[in-house]
Amino acid sequence: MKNILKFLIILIPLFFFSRCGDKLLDQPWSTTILLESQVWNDKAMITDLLANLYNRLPVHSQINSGETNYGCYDEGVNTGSQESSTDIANNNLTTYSYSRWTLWDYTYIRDLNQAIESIKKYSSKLTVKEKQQFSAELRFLRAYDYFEMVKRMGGVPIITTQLIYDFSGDPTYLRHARNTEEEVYDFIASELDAIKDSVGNISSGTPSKDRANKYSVLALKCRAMLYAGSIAKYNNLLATPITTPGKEVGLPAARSAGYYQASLNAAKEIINSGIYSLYNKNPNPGENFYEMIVKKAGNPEMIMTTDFLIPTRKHNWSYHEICRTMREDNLSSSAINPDLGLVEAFDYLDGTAGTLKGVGTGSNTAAGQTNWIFYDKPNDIFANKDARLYGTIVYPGTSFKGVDVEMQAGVYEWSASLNRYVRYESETFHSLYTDGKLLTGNGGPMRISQEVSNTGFYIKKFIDPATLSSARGVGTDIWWVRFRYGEILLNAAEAAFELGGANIPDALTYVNMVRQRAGFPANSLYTSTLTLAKLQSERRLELAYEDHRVWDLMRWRISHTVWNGSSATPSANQYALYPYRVIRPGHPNDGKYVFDRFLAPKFKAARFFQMGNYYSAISQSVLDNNPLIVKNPFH
Amino acid sequence: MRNWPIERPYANDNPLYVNNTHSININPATYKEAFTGWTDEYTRVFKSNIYADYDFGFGLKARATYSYEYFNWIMECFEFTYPAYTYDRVAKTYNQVVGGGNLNPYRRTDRQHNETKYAQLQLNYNKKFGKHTIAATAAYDQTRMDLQFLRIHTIPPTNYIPIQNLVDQDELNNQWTMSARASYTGRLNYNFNEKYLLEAIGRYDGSYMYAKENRWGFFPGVLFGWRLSNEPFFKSLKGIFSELKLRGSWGQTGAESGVSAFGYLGGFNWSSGSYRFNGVTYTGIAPRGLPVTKLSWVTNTSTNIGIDFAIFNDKITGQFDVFRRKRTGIPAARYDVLIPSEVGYSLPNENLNSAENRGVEGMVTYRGKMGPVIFNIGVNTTLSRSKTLETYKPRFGNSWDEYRNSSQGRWDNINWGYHILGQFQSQEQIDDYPVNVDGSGNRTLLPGDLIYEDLNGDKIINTMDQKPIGYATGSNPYMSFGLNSQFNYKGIDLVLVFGGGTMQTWIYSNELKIPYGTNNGNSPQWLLGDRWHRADPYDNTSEWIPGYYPPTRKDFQTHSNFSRTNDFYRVNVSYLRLGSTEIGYNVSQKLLNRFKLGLTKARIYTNISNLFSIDNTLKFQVDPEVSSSSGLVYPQSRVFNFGFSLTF
Repeated sequence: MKNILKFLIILIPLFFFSRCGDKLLDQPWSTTILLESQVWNDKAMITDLLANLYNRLPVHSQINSGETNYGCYDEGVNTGSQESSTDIANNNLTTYSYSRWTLWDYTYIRDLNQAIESIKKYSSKLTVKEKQQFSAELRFLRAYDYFEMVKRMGGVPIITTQLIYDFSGDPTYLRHARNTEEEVYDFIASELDAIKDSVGNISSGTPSKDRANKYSVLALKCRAMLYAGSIAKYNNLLATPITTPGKEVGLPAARSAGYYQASLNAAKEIINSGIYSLYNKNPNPGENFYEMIVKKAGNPEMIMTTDFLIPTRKHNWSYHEICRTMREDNLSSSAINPDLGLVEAFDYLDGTAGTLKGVGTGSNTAAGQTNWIFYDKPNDIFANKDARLYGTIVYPGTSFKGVDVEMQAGVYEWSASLNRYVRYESETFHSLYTDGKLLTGNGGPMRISQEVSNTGFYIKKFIDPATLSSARGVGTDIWWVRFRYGEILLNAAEAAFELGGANIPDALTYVNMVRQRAGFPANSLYTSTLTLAKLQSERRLELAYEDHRVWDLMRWRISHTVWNGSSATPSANQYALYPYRVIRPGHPNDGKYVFDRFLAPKFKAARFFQMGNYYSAISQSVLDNNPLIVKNPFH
Repeated sequence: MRNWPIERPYANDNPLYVNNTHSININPATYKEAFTGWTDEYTRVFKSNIYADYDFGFGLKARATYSYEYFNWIMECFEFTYPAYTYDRVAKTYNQVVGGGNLNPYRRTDRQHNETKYAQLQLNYNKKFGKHTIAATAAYDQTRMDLQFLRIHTIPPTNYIPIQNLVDQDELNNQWTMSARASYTGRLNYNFNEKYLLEAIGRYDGSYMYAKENRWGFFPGVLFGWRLSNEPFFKSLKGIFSELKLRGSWGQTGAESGVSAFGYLGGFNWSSGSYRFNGVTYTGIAPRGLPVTKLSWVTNTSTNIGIDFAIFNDKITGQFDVFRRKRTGIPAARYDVLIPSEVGYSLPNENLNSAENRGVEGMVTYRGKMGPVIFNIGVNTTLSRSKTLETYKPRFGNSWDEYRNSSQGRWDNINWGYHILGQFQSQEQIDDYPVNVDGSGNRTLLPGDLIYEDLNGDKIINTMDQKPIGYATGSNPYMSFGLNSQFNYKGIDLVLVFGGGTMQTWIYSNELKIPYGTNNGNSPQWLLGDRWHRADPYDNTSEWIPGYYPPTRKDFQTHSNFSRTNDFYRVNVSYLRLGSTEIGYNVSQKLLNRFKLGLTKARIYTNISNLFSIDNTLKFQVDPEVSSSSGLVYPQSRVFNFGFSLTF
């Protein structure tokens, strides 16, 4: 009996223990997950959700992501990469893959649709106005994403509600076919029109530069309609317009003027608001153009930016791209180097073409030296150029962040026996020649080494002037520009030019405003000199490294001719310009500088854009998952 | 390997000035604490166990256990700034390089503490009735763990002050995770006359990883043993077999595989991306995908048949086993339901796939004596492979896709790659070669380059030409073996423990394959020394001198020689390593007594781990157990110990 009692004493607690398993397993909770019920009625949490969603807007080449893409078109070559095993890093990109720009971003669309529906349904504690404002902001992001998709893919299915699977085993009811490219552009326009006045984010007359407001909505519409207008026009001017039977890609030529007009109207609404103006605070136009991007306080030019703040939100553009000479870290620098083609695209301020004068071929023969002009200083060759060159690119003979860039590839020493100059170069930084003077500078350029210029130029745009901003641990908080006034003026100029007739004076006014800021005299372009090619060149120069070039060439339908894959086509190849010191004691040319131009030593394959690149490939899994999706042409 | 032989660590070899080499952070001159900074790591552990026993007196015993463990880990790092110089030979001055050296200082403090609480209540029953013995156990146990982590990261303005300041802070990282598990266990043993053994086990396990309705799993098992040598009919064989036992078992256990904690919750992930609105940085919250509610434990089912034996008066003992471990319910998504990509989510995982491991293992030990030498030698070996049994309704676009990508019913770790037929011997051979080897019409090829096998005969080398080219890489060898031996001779003893493996593949790459590496660095001598090259490197018309490796090229990692995984750079590794050896001498009692030091025992010994290995990776200067394809990891170290022990 006693034993049985003891047995019970031990069994009873065991019985209780048997209840405690589940209780214990309920105890841990996730310290990183918020439940739906904790979000939709809390404005702070909805704002945090918006932070995530703004941060996820699609990126192609941007200062904080996708930087190597800048080295894939005609803005530069990749040179400084530590991991140099890919074709991109080695500049050996023989073609652009059909899926290079593919974007099928429906997780993002689903998150936006879910948020739009949930705010409507669950945010009972928010005022009607607050709900309207959040919902308009989410619709802006959705329109932005559809624009990013349509410019890469052509028409995509327009999904505006959450698609919920019922786990029945038959998901066919969730299938949606692609809308036409025209429908997507029209959807973007109508969405932006609908939210323009309810999106808010303007406090006492000053629109936010970070969050969607009337003017960023207009700016997006201005850009999207310009794209639609030019695709409608130039796609149909191709020998064989790119299109599909269901019009998933390709826009009707008849819509072109309407789209251009919509773009111009949106631009004019921004221009006439008087809120924005071109940044013009520094009397030196070159410094002014550089400051236009990097000076944040009171900057009247920016319409929408992606902002950063040290130390909580920073990026490493300066670390990756800073000129080797003034880098502040023992790794990286000089990852993308601007090429000579871009440098020469900057015209002289007197209006003549920007081709540099007196440049040798680099063949190290007498014939290669006949063209030489002997310059007193390395920067003399760049004198009187469009000031945006100085604001965008670091070139020889200048200084940046208070440090002389010291760019010299080597020396040319006179040989009396050969009756020509003989070239000497080195791969050692700040190495001296036998005469005790500089052989190769701290800033290169060098043919082989990494983390130094391969082309003879460095990027200056977006590089932070602050001390230590190019050190990994510190980083930079220069903002990324989504929309700025300069672009709006160029959009307006192009739309007005394309519309022609009575709009030409407007086109001239807008483009000349931009050119005047770059150091050109007033009214430097006039009716007879205003051409599409001129406007295309203006965009290339004004908006270099702002992720416009590749998309602009596509919408003008000239990518396949500019980047035709031929080593004989200069625009498809990337060139270098190397400065040398001349040694010829006793001769007037001794101590002067000469320049050689040749294919960038690390550039291996000409740019090759194929017709199948105009619309990117839809991945096989997307096609498998939904039989209603049709492929793009050429794939 | 990233340093260049043409660069010196110090400018003008003066140890006061670090040379500004092409990549200074790998300059060995900077690898000094006073120079580059320091890292200190502390681990502190406190562990306590409390238990209470109670004996009921009729064969039933109870034990309650509670244990508490506190683990604390601190890491302190300080990276200094330092300058780098170049030496000006003409002016005889050392010039500090702008942007050289290290200007990227940081100071980091990491703290982590884990608290583990474990409780168990166990009942044991043990009773013998004549020839029957019964034992039973019932238990409940639970574990709860909390982990907290904190990192404070600052950019210090000076190298001299290690104290961190708020104004210098650029990072704060805080993590807190918890876990809990519980299980009920029952076991019943029955033993008849030490002849028949039977055991039944059952576990009921619960884990916090799964949704409430799926968090518990029941896992039973049975074992039997039959000691043949105790049977009357075995008597005639007793002279040979002193012991012979047959064993068999079948059992299941659960595994938490392919599941992430709280995957069953929807909602939002905190701190995912951030954005700056009007000057203020906002922490982002990211919508989570569909909750994973249908997932539960993966079941491991193990089956094993074995035999234990001892023969010739226990001189030889051994055991052999055949085993199979089947895993069912491996998480996968039901992909025959094709959800359009436009819905923006994918279907959550369920317990659908299965796989298994199969193998045999054996061990034999011999105890013997030769004159005054007493010794025993044991060998053991295991052969094991894993196999995928079933995947959820596999689907293939075509028969090649199935051949290439199916895992259904196949051994795992198929090592796909290209087969190399040989090397081009001359430019004429390249010019006449009908197959496009390099993807560029053979324009990039030189004598000595690799000839890829055109498996499908389409005159171009691409992924269609891959086939299995070796055993698994980077995992355990299919076959492993060991040899343990002990020798004793008049107070001197020797222990040798060998371990080895075979049926394992290592494919060397990166720095060991590509001349001048992937990092603009140097290459091993064996790679550069024995290669195809021109007789005169400055004359591109001079004749080719054959070698083992293809001709070198700089900055051309995408060349066909390097870009494809092939069997030219394959080694099927086999090795036998003297893992540890000890030789010792015990001073004899006679001698100890003579010195009258009060010593009862004295021993001197030396032991060495990893004294040598016999292998086929010596040529590459790489340890055979290194799985890194670049070999750029620390190999096993060789440790020498000398010691003595005295007992008073």
